[in-house]
Amino acid sequence: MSDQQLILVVDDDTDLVEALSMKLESENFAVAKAYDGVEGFEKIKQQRPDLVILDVMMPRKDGYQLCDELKNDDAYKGIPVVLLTAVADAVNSTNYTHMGGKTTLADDFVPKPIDLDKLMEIVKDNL
Amino acid sequence: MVPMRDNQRHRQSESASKLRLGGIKFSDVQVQVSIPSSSGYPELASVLTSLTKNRVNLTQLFLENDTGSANFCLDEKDYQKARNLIDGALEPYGPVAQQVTSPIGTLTLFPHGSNINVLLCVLQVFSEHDLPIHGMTSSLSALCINTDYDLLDRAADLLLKVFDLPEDHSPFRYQPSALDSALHHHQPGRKVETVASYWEPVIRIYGSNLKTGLAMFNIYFAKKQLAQIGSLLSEVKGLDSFEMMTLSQSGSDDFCLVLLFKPTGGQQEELSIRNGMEVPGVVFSERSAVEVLYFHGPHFQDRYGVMDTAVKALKNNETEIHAANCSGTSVYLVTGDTIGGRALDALAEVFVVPKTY
Repeated sequence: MSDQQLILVVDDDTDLVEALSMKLESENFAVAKAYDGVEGFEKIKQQRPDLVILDVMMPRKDGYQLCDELKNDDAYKGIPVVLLTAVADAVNSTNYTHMGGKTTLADDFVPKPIDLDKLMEIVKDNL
Repeated sequence: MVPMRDNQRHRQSESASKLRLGGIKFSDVQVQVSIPSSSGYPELASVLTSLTKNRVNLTQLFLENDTGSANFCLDEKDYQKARNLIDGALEPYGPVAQQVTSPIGTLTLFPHGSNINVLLCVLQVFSEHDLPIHGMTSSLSALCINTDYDLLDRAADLLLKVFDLPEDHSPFRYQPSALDSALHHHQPGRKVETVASYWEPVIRIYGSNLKTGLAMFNIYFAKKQLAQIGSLLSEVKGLDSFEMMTLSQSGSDDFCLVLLFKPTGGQQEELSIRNGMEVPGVVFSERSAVEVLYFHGPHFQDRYGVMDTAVKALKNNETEIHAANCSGTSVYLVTGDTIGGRALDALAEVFVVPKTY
């Protein structure tokens, strides 16, 4: 158990959190879950994950804000952040575009709908 | 007493008798529409097509073949537009006895972890306190309970006597992020873009899964027997987890509970025996060999026409669906033994798993 790397998944889509968790656990990662940016930041402070998979469009505190807070905090800026950006092609009026996501300090980006296998590659590349 | 199993593997909070969840969400005001459907759901298919064409989203859909009932929910603000569309779509089928329930709210609990105890606790709480259930579905992570909108807070308070949430859990009602508050300060009440209503000609999904060798219970009972049914299920040995469930109204006073699970031997016989002995008047049927096809995608509640596309593809393929539900971002389709693969092929024509970027 102590050798397992801990991945925190932060997304308000609870089914996606579950699907990602199942995939990560099948790849022998330990998983923590949070459903908005406020809860996500608390989990990061409590559990210090090895990597964060972070959705952008969330209530209360969105992924942009959380990513910004993490990357501007010496205590947490070393934790890799993989940002899940919006359904960019299909939504023509959104504040949360894939291009917008790329202006943040995240370490990597995956546009939705994500390819779970591709996401696993990105997670492993960033650990 | 909340039904609990000693041998159930579930997460326990420090409070020994409570089950641990990740959160609870409340929906906006909803309208639930129930329509009887003949075999193959032609009435429902007609309604879905009309709503999709007119860009009306459904937030939930659940149906069950044996009673021929089809139920769906939509936001109250969409209902006035949808009302005429539904009537128009059903007109070719003669008089159709629709049941419309409003205002309702959906209380969503997550994650259920496929733990049967989570389901049974919900049934117990609602029946003990006479809270109405207008319908209930499950998704990959969540249980969705449709009750009276003005009872959402009371229902949550009662559920929190048997469930624990993390200290910093998300609020039950939507709160905008700072970015959206700043951008839309001139539009108080505007909801943040956690949902993004859109349509695309080809539906992209995260992936699909086919599970075989499952069993399905259909249990028909009077609403007042809900607590007894919960107790009955809690006593069936080996029934520890579930794959999918729906609870729908069958007439004005009855429920139909559909429960899909992986049989480990003897559950059907035991339930059948117990059912006859303990809960008279309940009608119980089971299918011992079914398959479930489920898939997940982004924004299923607001990407127009997910179920319309699925129902059409399966109708063209002549694939019979025993039960189905669409809630959260999951779609579940229950088919007969060995049929699931054919259904998967049919759906692969219209749903696309994204390639690597």
